[in-house]
Amino acid sequence: MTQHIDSKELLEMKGQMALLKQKLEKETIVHEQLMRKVMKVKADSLRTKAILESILALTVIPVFTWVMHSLFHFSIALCLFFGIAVTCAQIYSYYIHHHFRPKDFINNSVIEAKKETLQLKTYYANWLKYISIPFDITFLTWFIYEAIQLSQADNTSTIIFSISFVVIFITVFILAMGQYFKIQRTADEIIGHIGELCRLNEKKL
Amino acid sequence: MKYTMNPQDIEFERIIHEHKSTIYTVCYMFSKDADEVNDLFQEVLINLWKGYASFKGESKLETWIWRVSFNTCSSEKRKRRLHEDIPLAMDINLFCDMDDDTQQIQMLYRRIHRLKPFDRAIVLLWLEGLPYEEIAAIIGISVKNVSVRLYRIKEELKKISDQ
Repeated sequence: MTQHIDSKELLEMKGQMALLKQKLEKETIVHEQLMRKVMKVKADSLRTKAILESILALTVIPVFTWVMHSLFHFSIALCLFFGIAVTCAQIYSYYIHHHFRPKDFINNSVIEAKKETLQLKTYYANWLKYISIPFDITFLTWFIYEAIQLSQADNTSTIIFSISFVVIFITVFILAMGQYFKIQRTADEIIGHIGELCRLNEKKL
Repeated sequence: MKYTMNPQDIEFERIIHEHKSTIYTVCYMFSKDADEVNDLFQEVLINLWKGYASFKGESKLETWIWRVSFNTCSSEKRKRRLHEDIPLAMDINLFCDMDDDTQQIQMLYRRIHRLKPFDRAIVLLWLEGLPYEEIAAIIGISVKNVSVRLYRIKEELKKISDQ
């Protein structure tokens, strides 16, 4: 076999391979396109997560509203408040992502992409501060108040449901907070890439 | 607030720059034209980037890069995928340039390209100077099988040259 390994053709091929390597080592990857693609993948992941969360939320709303009102006799006002608030959250999420288009990371200027990412961060931060936290506190207080009222007259199943609901609600809130910080972190990373790209472009100039 | 790149992204960029010739060589040897090389190169980089977060260092980094490159380049699904028009490549065209070095490289390309995709992978790794054990680990066959296949490939290459 050694005879074959050292055959003329193979030695020639090894030399050609070395030439190829030498040639490629001198080349540089078109850095900007790589970074733009990386940013697009990150932006796509934000959008996909938002879509999945919306699908999950929109599936859960009718079920929970029906269970709360029909089976455990919570007031229609509370159920409507819950249903409308969660629906509004999904509409707002759609609005945020309508303005945040991953394709723009490939085609548009980096300044435009940075503007969109900063806008996304602000929209999420505003949502958390002014809508989500006030809604969560109001809803939870209202729910606990009604649960206490109902449990005095009703059977133990209402108490079990209420406790379970509160536990699930708090768990979902903690998960959502984790998701919120992850979104902010990803957006910061995208902005970091844009900054790096701008520095590279300045160097080129 | 200061926005910085994720340390993982910085490290990934460094790795890509270090192994760009390996990745490009595989893409070149599995392509028919310059557009396909760029397409493949882009796809391999994306697959490496997607897999990098979950790369736990169970195998050597080089082994992993070779494996992802071969898998991407020989994947059947790839042919059915719609490609976005993003040139993510190196500013080089080994199919068109006509200097002496490139002519030599094209000769290598013609020889390797006549082999089956699986054999192309083996011969590339062998030309890279990797030991049989490492070739076996990357391709996913036994060391003995590598040795037998290499023997046949060398015979075939010899026939091609004689023609």
